[in-house]
Amino acid sequence: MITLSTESFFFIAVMALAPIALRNNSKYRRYIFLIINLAVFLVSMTSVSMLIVGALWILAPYFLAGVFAGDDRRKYRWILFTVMVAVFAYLARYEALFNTLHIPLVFGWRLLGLSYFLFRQIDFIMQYEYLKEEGVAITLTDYLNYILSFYTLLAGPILRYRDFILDMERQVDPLTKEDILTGLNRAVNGYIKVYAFSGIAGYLAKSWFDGLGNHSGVLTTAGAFFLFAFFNGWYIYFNFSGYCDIVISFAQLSGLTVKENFNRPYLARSVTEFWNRHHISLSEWIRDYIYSPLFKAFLSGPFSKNPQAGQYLALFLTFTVAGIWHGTDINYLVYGLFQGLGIVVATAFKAYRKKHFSKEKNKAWEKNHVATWAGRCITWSYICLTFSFVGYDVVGLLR
Amino acid sequence: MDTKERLQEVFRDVFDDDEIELTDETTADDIDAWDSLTHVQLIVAVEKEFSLKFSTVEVMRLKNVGEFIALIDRKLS
Repeated sequence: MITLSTESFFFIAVMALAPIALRNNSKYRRYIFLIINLAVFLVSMTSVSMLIVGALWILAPYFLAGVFAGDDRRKYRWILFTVMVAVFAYLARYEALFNTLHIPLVFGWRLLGLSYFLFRQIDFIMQYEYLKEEGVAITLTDYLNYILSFYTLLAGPILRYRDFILDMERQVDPLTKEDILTGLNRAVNGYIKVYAFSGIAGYLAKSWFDGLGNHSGVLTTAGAFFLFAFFNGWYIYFNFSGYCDIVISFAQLSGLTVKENFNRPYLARSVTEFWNRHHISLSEWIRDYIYSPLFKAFLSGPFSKNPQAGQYLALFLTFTVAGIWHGTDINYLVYGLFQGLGIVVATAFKAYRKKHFSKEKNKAWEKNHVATWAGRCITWSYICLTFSFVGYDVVGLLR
Repeated sequence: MDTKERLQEVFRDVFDDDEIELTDETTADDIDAWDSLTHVQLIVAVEKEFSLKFSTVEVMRLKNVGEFIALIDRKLS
């Protein structure tokens, strides 16, 4: 078993050698990609049970997508999704849930990139009929490449099946000196972000968090907590966006496109805008597969007379679910609740401005520097404070 | 009324703007009030007007009004 992380020799070797095998238009390209993907997946396995369960988990949607397709069977797809989410929760070890249900968690391991598998699998099942209709290639090789692509195996970004296949089929130009320099420049920047900036910010965040108990006054404790949250916010940004820079640039060297996942998120003026700039592929996924169907169901049913309230509830529930997805303990639930609250407040404020301000006044507001920077400071502070629940037991601390 | 005219009436009603003139190329960028709230309201209103149901993916894949009209016509036939 080899630990797959961006600093491991194995990861760097695969990333460096892959362009030689993949930067071509050979008809064998997808098979070469599959061999590399399977090899990376196999070496990350810690036991035979993990391999068997992992293989079943990965393959099942490929064979079941067609079973749940068609006008008469599509309506039963919720059964498949319920089972998939339940298996995911079990494999991801949501201890509080399974302890309550008195179901023992028998597997002592977690499958690498498990939650990202789920996102990709749901996209595949949801799109299946339309992919067939459109003539997009659906073979086991393509499916496995999509699910196991070593570029996005660790932590996304979340690609869509259709985009992935069309990208694989795209003609690629030979690698030039400029491609190599541009790619390596971005990859090195990514490594600096992850191991220098994020490393320092992470160290400082942990130091301030560990020292929280040493303060006696409320104000000094609050100040120390804010400093912890501030450094933790930068840790998360540099770590995740640096990782994305690394995989995006290495994929480009192989002639593959991995979607941009960050767009200067800490310059967002509202929590809504933040989620359009941070972990963009996740935001788009939850918009398409959770928020929109949920809000539509609300509008067609209980909230037909009050769409605004329906939207707030749909947003709140969507981000709460997204929070729970991020991790298995109560801190992630609180994180999700705060994200939901932030989004609802930002959406309500926008709706208020739209209702009470003229178009011209709203446009002037958008361009106002004071409002812009006030919005950025408030959003950034709120996000840092809510991010403090990610990776730290803040709920335990507050108890 | 053809599909485009009926759809235009729904748009005018949802976005509360009687001056909306739809073309095949119209997108969310062309209508100020077209945001995440009104988008879903629009889909539900169109479903009611044409007595149709759209799936999540059908809606997700629409790129402009022309594709929306084509989808409605396909479903009606």
